[in-house]
This record gives sequence, C-alpha cells and structure tokens, in this order.
Amino acid sequence: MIQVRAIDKSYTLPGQKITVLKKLSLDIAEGDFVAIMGPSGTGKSTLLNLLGCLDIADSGSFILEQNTISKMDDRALAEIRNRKLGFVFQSTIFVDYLDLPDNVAIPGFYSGMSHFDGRQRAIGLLKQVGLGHRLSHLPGQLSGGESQRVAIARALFNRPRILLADEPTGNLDRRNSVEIVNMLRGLNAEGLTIVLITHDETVARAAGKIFTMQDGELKHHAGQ
Amino acid sequence: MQDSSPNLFSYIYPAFKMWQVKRLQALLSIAGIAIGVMGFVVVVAMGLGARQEFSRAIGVLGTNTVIVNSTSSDGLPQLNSEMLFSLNKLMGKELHAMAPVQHEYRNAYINRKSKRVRLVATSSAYREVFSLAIASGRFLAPYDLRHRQRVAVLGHESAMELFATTQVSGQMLRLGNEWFTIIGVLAADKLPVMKLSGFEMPDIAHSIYVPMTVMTADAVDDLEFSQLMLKFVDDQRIPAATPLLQRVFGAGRFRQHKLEMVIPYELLIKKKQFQNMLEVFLLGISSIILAVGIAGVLNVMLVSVNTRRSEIGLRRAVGATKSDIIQQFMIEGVLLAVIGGTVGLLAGWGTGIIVASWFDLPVLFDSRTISTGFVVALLAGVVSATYPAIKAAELHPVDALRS
Ligand SMILES: Nc1ncnc2c1ncn2[C@@H]1O[C@H](COP(=O)(O)OP(=O)(O)OP(=O)(O)O)[C@@H](O)[C@H]1O
Ligand SMILES: [Mg+2]
Repeated sequence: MIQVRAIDKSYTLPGQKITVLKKLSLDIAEGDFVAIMGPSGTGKSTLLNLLGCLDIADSGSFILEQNTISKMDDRALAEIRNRKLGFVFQSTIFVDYLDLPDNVAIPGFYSGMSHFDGRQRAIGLLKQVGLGHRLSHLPGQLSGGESQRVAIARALFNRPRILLADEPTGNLDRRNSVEIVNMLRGLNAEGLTIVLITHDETVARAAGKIFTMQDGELKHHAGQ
Repeated sequence: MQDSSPNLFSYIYPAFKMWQVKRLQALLSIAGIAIGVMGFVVVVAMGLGARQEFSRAIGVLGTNTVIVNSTSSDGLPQLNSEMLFSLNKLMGKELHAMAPVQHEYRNAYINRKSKRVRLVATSSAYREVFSLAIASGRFLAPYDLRHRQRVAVLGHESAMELFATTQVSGQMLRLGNEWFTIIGVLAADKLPVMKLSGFEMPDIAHSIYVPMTVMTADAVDDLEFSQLMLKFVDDQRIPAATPLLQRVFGAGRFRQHKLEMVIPYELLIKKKQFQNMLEVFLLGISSIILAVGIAGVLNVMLVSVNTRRSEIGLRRAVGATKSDIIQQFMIEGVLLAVIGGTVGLLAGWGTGIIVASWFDLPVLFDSRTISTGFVVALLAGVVSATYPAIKAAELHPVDALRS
C-alpha cells in the first residue's frame, strides 16, 4: 500500500543544511498498524508529513496505492490527502469559529459534499466517538481528550485508506490516552491502515509493528 | 476526476460564522470600504445631477435666449413698446421671438381658500421663447392682448396645486379682485428651479400667464415692463447683437435705470465649469479616502491570514488546493466589499440628499450611481483581498501546521 524507497529530506536554513532523513525506506501493507518511536528531533514528523503528502522528499521514491507522489502537482496531492488520508495532529488544530460538526465536516467541504450532508455525517461520527452531546460546542470548549476524539472523527470523515497520527496521546493523561488507543485499535480491526507516532511505549504496543527513528533511518523494533 | 470543488455557499457560510466571532475585524473592513464607496457615490450622484440639470435647463432655455432686465431705482418698469419697435427694426431678422414680461404676485381664490400665485403678464411670444407645450386648451394669442381679454393660462404646477387637474379650461378663477377665464394649461416642463449667480430662472410651471394689456390697462402699443425675453434665430447672432441691444435700451429717456442683460446659456456654462471643478476635487478626495480604506482592509486581511495560519494548514492537510485557499480569502474579501459597498451606497444616498439640501446642489441617484458604487466596492474588495489571499495560499502546509 505504501512503498518508500531511499528518500532523503533536508531543511535548508540560512547558513546551514539539516539533513533529517537519509535513504529511508519503509513498506506498509494494507491493514497494518505501524508505530514509529524515537527521540525528539529525529525526523518522525518529517516522515509523517511526507507520508501525508504535505511535503515532497528531496530524492527517492514514494508510491502510495499506485500513485507516484513525487511526480504529482498541488491539485493531485490535495485530492490524495482529501480522499485517501486522514490526519490527527500532535497539537489540536481546529477552525475556532466553527462548531464541532462543521469542523469535523471540513474534509467533506473539499470533496464537494453539501453542507447539509456534511453536517449529518459529522454528527454521526461525533456520536461514534462519544461526543453526541457536544454538537453545538466550539472547539475551544473541549478538553484535550475530547479534542483528540473530534480530531479522529474529522480524520475519518472521507473514509480514508490510511490514518496518520502524530503523537495523538502526547498531551493526554493515562485514562484518555488508553481511550484513544482503544479507538485506534478498533479502527485497525475494521481494516484501516494506521501509522502512529508516539513517545509512549505502552501506546506503541498497540501497534503490530514498531519502528525507531535513528540517524535519519528507521530501525525495525518489534512485530513483523 | 469528479467535480469536487466547494460550492459558493460552503465559502460564504463559514465566513459569516467567523465574522460572528471576529466582529471588530469585520466591522473595520466593512467601514473601510463603506467610507470609500460613499465618497464615490456622492460624487457620481452630484455629477449626474448637475449634468441632468444642465441639459434640462438648456432644453427649455436653449443657447440662444437673452433676458433683459431693467427697472428704475424706485422699482418702476423701464422698458416699453417703443423699444420693441426699434428692436424689431434693427434686428427683426435675427430674432425668433420677443416677449415683454411683467411679474406680479396676487392671491388666487378657489373654494374659499386663497393662495399666493405668481402672475406673468406677457404676450403670445412668451410661448415661442421657451418652446412651451400645452397640456390642454391654448396659450395667450395676439387677439387676447389687443382686446384685453381677461383670460389666464396656468403653469402645470399651479393648475395641479389649485385644481389638482389640468382639465380646467373654461373655468373661472379670481386673481386679486378680478375674474379670469382659464383658457389653457401648460404641459409639465422639466426646467429645474435653479439660481444662476443672482439670476433667478423663470419658474414656468408655478406661474399663471395673463395678457399684458389686462394688467397694465394700456393698449398694445403702450406697454411698460421690466423684463424682455429675446430668442435669437441662433446663438451665433448674440455677440454681434449685444452692442445694439445696449444702444436701444441704454438710450432711453431715463438714464438712471439699472440695465442688466443675461444670457442664461453663459451662466449655465459657468455653473457647469464650477461643478466640474468641484467634481474633480471631490473625486480626488474620494480616491484618497478609498485608498486609505483599501489599505485598512488589506491590513485587516493580512492580520487575519496570520492569525489563521493553523486553519490554513489544516485545510490544506485535509484536501484544500492552493486555489481553494485563494478562493476562500477572495470570497471573504468580496463579501466584505459587497456588504461595505451596500452600506456605503446607502450612506452615500443619505449624504447626497443632505448635500443637495444644504448646498442647493442637484444630485441624481439612478442605476449608474448604484453600479458605480458596486464596481468601486468590488474593486476595493478584490484589490485588498488579492495579496493576503495569495500569501495564504503560498504558505507551506507543513509550516502553517507548525505555527
Ligand atoms: N520546516 C523546517 N525547517 C527547518 N527545520 C526543520 C523544519 N521542520 C523540522 N525541522 C528540523 O528537522 C528536525 C526533525 O524535525 P521533526 O519535527 O521531524 O522531529 P520529530 O522527530 O518529529 O521530533 P518531536 O518528537 O520533537 O516531534 C529537527 O531538527 C527540526 O528542527
Ligand atoms: Mg514531531
């Protein structure tokens, strides 16, 4: 499903060049639940941004379901992000002036779904993640755990093939983080492919495969 | 690829949601555009009003009318039939019509009410000078003057004010202590009531016309009057005729009188030139105000883009293309412009009416005024939204999300 071959990624800052990913390769099959761990600043988010088609690698190849990502233009990449991918960011990012259903329905906005249908579907998803009683609330009124559940609902909106989650439990206490992990497990059990970044050993254990980022490369850590 | 671009409503709805939360930001932008548009609307309305007044006045007065006023220091009329004869002899071929005029105010009595009316004692030539159209009946005829007929022709507005209809021929009307038979009513004219540097336009619609001989109780060849309306065959003849006119009217028996010759066309042109200058001046001021308004909106939108970086990153991450982001910010800008433009249009309308009544300037609101307001507003919206929109779209999604 995902085939990454020898990608390099560096950032050019004034006066210096930081090479973050070096000849990194990764294969992810349909239905996989992959966790990526590693110290801060080693390039985990950088890799996830590449997998999420938010950024392009300097070299190497990245194929996502027969799409050669490095050769696609802005419009095509946006379409892939919209149809195939779901994001859960480390920090909770919402449109602060829209209520929860409108926030969850934002991916539908870019796939041409009507506002009414979008809200209906969003309300269904919010009920699924246990927030059916907070429909008229604004994102600013939610707790950290609730926010991540809304973020998951939004990521699932367009029925993605792959869910990319960057430290979704980073700011949560044990109870909330267990809840999120259980939710991800359930989704994976239904067939959703998941790539999860985490610092938390117990969270990572939910995944079938665990990699560690080191010196710009991934080291297989556990699972097959 | 199916059509997956968001529809217009999906852009407008969240914009209004946002302004509900960020009211001050929205109000500042709307005010910026509204003030700019208001200026333009007032200037355009004034320009159109002046142009309309000018062409209407020319339509009635023509370019070839000369009005001679002469009264002695004690207010007695200083023009007479003798002068009419000499004028006819000197330049009869160059004159199209020549009408003696004497004004007087009297009470008109109707249904036990009385109303002060302006009486114009004149001859049948008055109609030719101003090319007057008749709504019903007829105008004064030479016969009426020769035989001192007590007949009256009503201006359109005086007929409406006294009788509320123009079908009044044959009715009797008491003017002062005398009864007159109404023989006709003028058609509505479009001559604006305007002051031209001290000279008052004849208020054709509000006057009542009677044979001059009835008023002065004299014969046709023994008239005395204080105003003479001359209509030349064409305006080319006026410059050459001026010294002749001066000689005829200046060489009277009384040298003490005040003689005034007015060419309405020249006064109109002068007034128009003044209005043109005023327009250019006000247009300049409006442009400056608009530029300041645009700068204000631009600034508000730039701040908005900056505070919404994470929203932009989020939207890009879930499928927005660069052009989707540009569209979103452009539509927000244009919406603000349309709202600001509407407010500016209404404010300009109100201001225009106030300007019109305070400074006695004509203003005209029609489709041209309204479309100018909207075009200016849209331009302002597009100009002020384009740069922030492009800036928003050029944000790298990763950078936007990191903020
Ligand atoms: N846009 C950027 N411009 C310059 N440098 C960047 C940029 N993004 C990341 N970096 C640098 O690249 C390196 C890897 O960053 P990245 O965010 O991928 O690390 P990470 O493994 O996700 O760390 P953390 O666990 O703290 O989230 C860091 O040194 C960071 O400073
Ligand atoms: Mg990170």
